[in-house]
Amino acid sequence: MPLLEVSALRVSYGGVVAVHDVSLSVERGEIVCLLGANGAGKSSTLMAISGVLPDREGTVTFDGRELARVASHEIARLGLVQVPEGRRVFPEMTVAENLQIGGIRAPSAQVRTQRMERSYEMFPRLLERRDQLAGSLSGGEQQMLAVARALMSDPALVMLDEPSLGLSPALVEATFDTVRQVREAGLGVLLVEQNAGEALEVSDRAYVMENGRVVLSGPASQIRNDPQVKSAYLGL
Amino acid sequence: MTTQATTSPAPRRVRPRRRPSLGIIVGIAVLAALALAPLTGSRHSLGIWTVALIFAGVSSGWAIAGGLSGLIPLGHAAFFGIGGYASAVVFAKYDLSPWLGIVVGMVIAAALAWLMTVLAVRFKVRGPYFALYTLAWAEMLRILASNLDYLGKTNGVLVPYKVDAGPADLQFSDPRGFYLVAVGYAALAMIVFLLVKRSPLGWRLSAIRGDEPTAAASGVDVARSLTRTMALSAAMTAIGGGLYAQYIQYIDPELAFNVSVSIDIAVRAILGGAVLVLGPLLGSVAMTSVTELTQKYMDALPSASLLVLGLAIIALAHWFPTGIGGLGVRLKRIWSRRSDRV
Ligand SMILES: Nc1ncnc2c1ncn2[C@@H]1O[C@H](COP(=O)(O)OP(=O)(O)OP(=O)(O)O)[C@@H](O)[C@H]1O
Ligand SMILES: [Mg+2]
Repeated sequence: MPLLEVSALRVSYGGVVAVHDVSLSVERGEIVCLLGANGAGKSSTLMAISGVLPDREGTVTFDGRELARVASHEIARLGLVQVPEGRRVFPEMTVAENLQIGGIRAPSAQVRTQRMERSYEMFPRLLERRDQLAGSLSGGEQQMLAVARALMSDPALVMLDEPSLGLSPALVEATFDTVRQVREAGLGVLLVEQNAGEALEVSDRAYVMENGRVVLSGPASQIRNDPQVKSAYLGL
Repeated sequence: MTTQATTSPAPRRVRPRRRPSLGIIVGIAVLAALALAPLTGSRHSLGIWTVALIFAGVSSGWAIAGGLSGLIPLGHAAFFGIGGYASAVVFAKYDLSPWLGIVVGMVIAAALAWLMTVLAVRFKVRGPYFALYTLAWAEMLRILASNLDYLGKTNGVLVPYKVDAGPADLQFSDPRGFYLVAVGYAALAMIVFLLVKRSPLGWRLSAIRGDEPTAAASGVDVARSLTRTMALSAAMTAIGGGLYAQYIQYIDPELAFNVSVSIDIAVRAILGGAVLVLGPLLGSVAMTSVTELTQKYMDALPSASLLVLGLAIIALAHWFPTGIGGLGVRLKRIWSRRSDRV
């Protein structure tokens, strides 16, 4: 059974349907990317999975458990965590405090400390800025922090919403390296990206959304060679 | 043996212990000075300062919710009034200690705040809507109290003088007695505020204040954090209402639940700085001083105090968005920068 299985997901905002009938799955140790134009419904899909949007239909099963009636903080506790679009860190808290919030459900203070050390190993930059307010970090640093904070909960699956948005080429490279690292740790990754070329390179499988529907899905290598995808997303 | 070790509850403290801040030291000094002030023999406007201190405590109670959580409650008159009525009714009708009445008021206020917040979370009432929503609750209570025979309708409840009354009845032959009670209450409210701010709850609140959906998605139980905070804030506010009714020996629907009471409570905290321990005390002292001074020197203009306060708030919002207390924080920063250089 896949780690995450979404079937017939439907999301609406005050009666306006943004996502129709989306089905997808992610296995452990797999990177799956979700591509699509602006407004296709990618972020809405992620937010519905993590329970932030209550107006949803369809089923979301995570680790064998149906999430329909589970509150979003409980979903995080079960091991499914989202890094939302736009580097949402807690600006008035320090880097260390942001990480601690991520580890709020850790079984003990020692475990939390271990995970913090692990985050700092992964992102030495954050160690340097440990006591700096998160709001004063650079865009790239905030993005690192958002990812590190998500990993603090020791999740089984991470959903990343456009982690490379607005980053310099070097940092984009670093971000995708992080995604690979996360997978190597045995986690599942659901990645939303505009940067389709890079995303398809790191991913195992891909889904393409259009107007709230999945219009194409398959192994990343196959999607990369799809003529429609090539012209629409890869600019080839 | 080893299993015992692993199952024993692990330490839960997540925030590194901090040094006592300048705010606390100044706070202790200010409170001590306030407590000693009337002993110098000057009893000038003791009554005014007793009320100012009660409101400093009430505003600190408000700031637990209004400062730390990012909610903007604008109906704290509800809890203030509940405290006032509970202490008055318990004393006047049942001849029991008003202290007991205050405890009753705290429980009722906390329960109401809990209910209000559960509904607000359920129906996603936030931001300015939350302000109006809480205001509507206070207004409902005002109308209720104005129509209930049991609460004396619009006449309210009178707190009778008691022969051979003592501190247990919250009546003092020396007015400095009540003044000291007010100092104690302000201190208590500030301590509770600080404990919450530095607890794991305060830390969750700070995440919620920063970005609520992200806090939830990180595993913060938003609903529980907010309901607890509002309940505690309401209980602390109710104490002040109870003291106030006992002090003026009277409570009626307007003194208890009027919109202006809710606004007064919030403004004192915001004026001083709602996320700082000292903020509500500073704000309350400032507000009372402005009111007194303008009444004294500008009595030709009856609403001059409102005008001055309004201008002060605009100026503060522009230059010191964190309130009067923010000024201190900024000075401290300049000071420590200078001493670093030395
Ligand atoms: N809070 C909201 N209220 C109303 N409509 C919304 C809301 N959020 C998103 N939508 C609408 O839902 C649709 C899908 O938006 P969504 O943010 O999921 O797209 P996206 O694929 O993530 O786009 P992008 O690549 O630009 O981030 C859009 O038409 C958008 O206007
Ligand atoms: Mg999006």
